Amino acid sequence: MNEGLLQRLQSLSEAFSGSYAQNLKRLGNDFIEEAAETNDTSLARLSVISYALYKILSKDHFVKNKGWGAISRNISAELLKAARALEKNDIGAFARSIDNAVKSIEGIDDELSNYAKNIYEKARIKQASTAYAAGLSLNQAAALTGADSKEVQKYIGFTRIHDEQPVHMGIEARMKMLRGLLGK
Amino acid sequence: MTYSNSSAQKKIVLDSSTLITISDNCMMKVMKALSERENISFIIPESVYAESVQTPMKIRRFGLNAIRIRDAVEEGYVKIAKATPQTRQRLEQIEQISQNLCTFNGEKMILLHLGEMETLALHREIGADALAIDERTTRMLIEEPEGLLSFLRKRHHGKIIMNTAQLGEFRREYGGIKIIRSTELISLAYSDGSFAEEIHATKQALEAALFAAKFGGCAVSFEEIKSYMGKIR
Repeated sequence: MNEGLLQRLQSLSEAFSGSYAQNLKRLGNDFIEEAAETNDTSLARLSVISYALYKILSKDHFVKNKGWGAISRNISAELLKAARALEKNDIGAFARSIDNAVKSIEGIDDELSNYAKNIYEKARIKQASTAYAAGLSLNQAAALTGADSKEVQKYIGFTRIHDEQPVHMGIEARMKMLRGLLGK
Repeated sequence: MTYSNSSAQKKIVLDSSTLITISDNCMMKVMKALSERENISFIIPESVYAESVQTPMKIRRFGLNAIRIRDAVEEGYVKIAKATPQTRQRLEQIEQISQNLCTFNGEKMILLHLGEMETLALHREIGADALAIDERTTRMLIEEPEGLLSFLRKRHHGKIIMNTAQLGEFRREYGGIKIIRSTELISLAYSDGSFAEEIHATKQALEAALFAAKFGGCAVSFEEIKSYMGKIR
């Protein structure tokens, strides 16, 4: 049994059941950092789910919608089933329940919203950008969460990630190198 | 495929990150002018073509950009390099190095993806003169692995170790690669007149294009752009 993954799934499930949006956000960030360190795509998936659920719980127009109760119960049930499957070391059943939880989240776009689109897809991109900030290459970070690398690249462009490290070789120095290479 | 018509022609391999920044900002015609004026052959691996053209062509919101890149290939100023047994062999070698390069608390931490590795393998295989890559990690690993290690140690609360033997091998093979980004291609285009293919070559336009590259995800800082622009007359 993957106890680490089970513990994290239980934390996620509890935070969601208690509607603790900020906890879900924190868990999402912790999970993606750890997933980047260990190249763990299952944990990366939990991270994306946590972040997507945080975004949903943060928005009144979702949680106050009359359709939300049923969707929320579905997600909770699938998370519980996934945890039980992990306890039995049934990786196939775990993956199916997680798939179902993701489908419920993706279904929110159709059922509840003219307000937001692609909540899960946006969560994938956001979490991939955190994996990039943690040191993975762009494509590796995108692959970890299953996000489109072009979308991740664009997202990163609007963050401060590239301003946080010292400049090793600036534009001028690279231009000098390039001109030298071209014999100018 | 032969990539060079004359010994003076320079070969620059483009990573998907740079190709996307350039095409997203409508600078493909500028690349064409650069290729002609500077006698540069821009080369991409097959996988980058698939990722930048074949897959996005099926998605409405990415279709236009994919067409721009496809046109560049059809017009011949961006060339596709087919994978050869030699590049595959190199790829296997980089993959091996990459998987054993870094550990976190004793577990393998894999920093690079196959996509970036293919670009590196191609660069070496064809003896390219430079690599254009907008993403940060591959660039740091090539140019300043110690800086990357120090960044990873600061960021992660655990024991990060780089395998010195693997790093030494990586450096021997890839350490000398000259790296540019879309910002340098834009700056070169500004200085040699290629820029005018898309927009009037004013200082304001250059600055706007550099910021567009940054906001498109090119790993360049505000400080770098500010410093460079301060030196442009």
